[in-house]
Amino acid sequence: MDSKLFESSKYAFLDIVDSKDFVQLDTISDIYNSLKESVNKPLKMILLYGKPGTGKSMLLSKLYDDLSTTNKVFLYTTPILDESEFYKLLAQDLFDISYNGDLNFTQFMKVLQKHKTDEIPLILLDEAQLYSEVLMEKIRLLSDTRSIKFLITLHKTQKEDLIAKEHFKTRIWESIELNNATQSQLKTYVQKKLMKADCLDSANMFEDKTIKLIHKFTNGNYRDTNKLLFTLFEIYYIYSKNNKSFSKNKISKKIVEMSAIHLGFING
Amino acid sequence: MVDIDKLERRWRVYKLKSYLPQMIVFTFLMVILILTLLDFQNIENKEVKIVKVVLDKNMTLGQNRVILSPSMSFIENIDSIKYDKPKKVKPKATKERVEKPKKKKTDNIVIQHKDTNQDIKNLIVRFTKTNDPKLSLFIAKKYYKIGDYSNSYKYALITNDLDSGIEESWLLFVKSLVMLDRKKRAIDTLKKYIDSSGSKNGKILLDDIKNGKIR
Repeated sequence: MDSKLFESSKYAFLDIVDSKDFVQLDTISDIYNSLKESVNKPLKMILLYGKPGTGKSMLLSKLYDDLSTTNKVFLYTTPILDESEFYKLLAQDLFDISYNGDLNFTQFMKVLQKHKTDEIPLILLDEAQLYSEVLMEKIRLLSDTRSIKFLITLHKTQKEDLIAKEHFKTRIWESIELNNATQSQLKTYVQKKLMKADCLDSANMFEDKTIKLIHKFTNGNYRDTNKLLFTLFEIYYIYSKNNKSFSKNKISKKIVEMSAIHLGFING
Repeated sequence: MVDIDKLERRWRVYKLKSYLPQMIVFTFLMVILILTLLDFQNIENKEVKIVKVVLDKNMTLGQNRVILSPSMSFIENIDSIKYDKPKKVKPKATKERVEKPKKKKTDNIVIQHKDTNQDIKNLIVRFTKTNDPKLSLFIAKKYYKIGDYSNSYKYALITNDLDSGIEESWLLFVKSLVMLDRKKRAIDTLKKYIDSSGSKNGKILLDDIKNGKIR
């Protein structure tokens, strides 16, 4: 087994949101399909929520990629904190109108009514917990016009739950929760990721007990798992480069633990 | 970039930490085990000591019991008994006095015949006053009956000394010897007696001893 394989394996777990890296897991596929159905329903707002690292952004990115060819859909991965900038961006994307000066809510509403079409555009807002409460209230009002449909993602924390309840409880017609992976889901996720990157040999190195250990350290969180496996294969890469002896048939418990120590999942 | 050497050091610390609870539990269990074993050994030692003390006490008691029961004090009195020396008849059984017979089944005497002992004591008191060989023969019989063969032997001998013509004293003397595991000597004595007296009872007894009817 050469160091190249470990390098490729390492990059398979690079934590970036790219719909090409989307891993089809049974539960995630079910969620994705229900999300897709919701988009086609006459709903004002859809909420996708879950703990950080459960795949919300990835799901949103995948949805965008799949719908963008057929639907009028726009993805905002980075929150636009300035209210005027937010309206100006919407006017630009939805109606291809650019404004040099400020654009307030009233002005944007007028633009919206003026350019209303049969096809309701879908705005995908990632990290919606970063938007101000005032702006969230305006987004709520915009969705009420039924001229724009919003799909927002929220981190599930106590505070954000409150936002979801208080602001959107009367408007959100669909809410979907994403959870951490179970042990078997995590195994499928890891192996599919490696196979996608043509790292079949390293995919075969994962035994159930290794996955159990990884699950113990990451609680099945996809982001943490990506980070852990990235570090793990980096260590393997260094070992193989330095000609250090290690088992090539299975993932060593020691290296999983070393990765967890490096990332601060456990104290060493 | 991962600093492997540093990470390996941290991992070793982590492993040491992770085994610490097991090590503590193991050490704790070992300490408990050792303490339990030590405690058990102490108890055993104490028990051994107690047993030793009990044995020592028993031995002392046993010695006392030998001294007290059956009472041998009468022997001292016997020495002071004045009686007319009988006419000596050969073979002389007095040679046997040198032999100290084994003390056998003394415990049985103590347990079974407390009252008999008292009776015998009374008889001995009477005997010391009268020096009557019939009385000493009676005492010898009594002792033989209760299994005190050393005393039955002695009183048979005393009777024989007082009156060597009493056949019963010879026979009882011989039977007591058999019972005291001196079968050969008993047979020799009996043969000598038969030779000198031609006793029929003596011959019957000799046959009984040889056939193992008396043992």
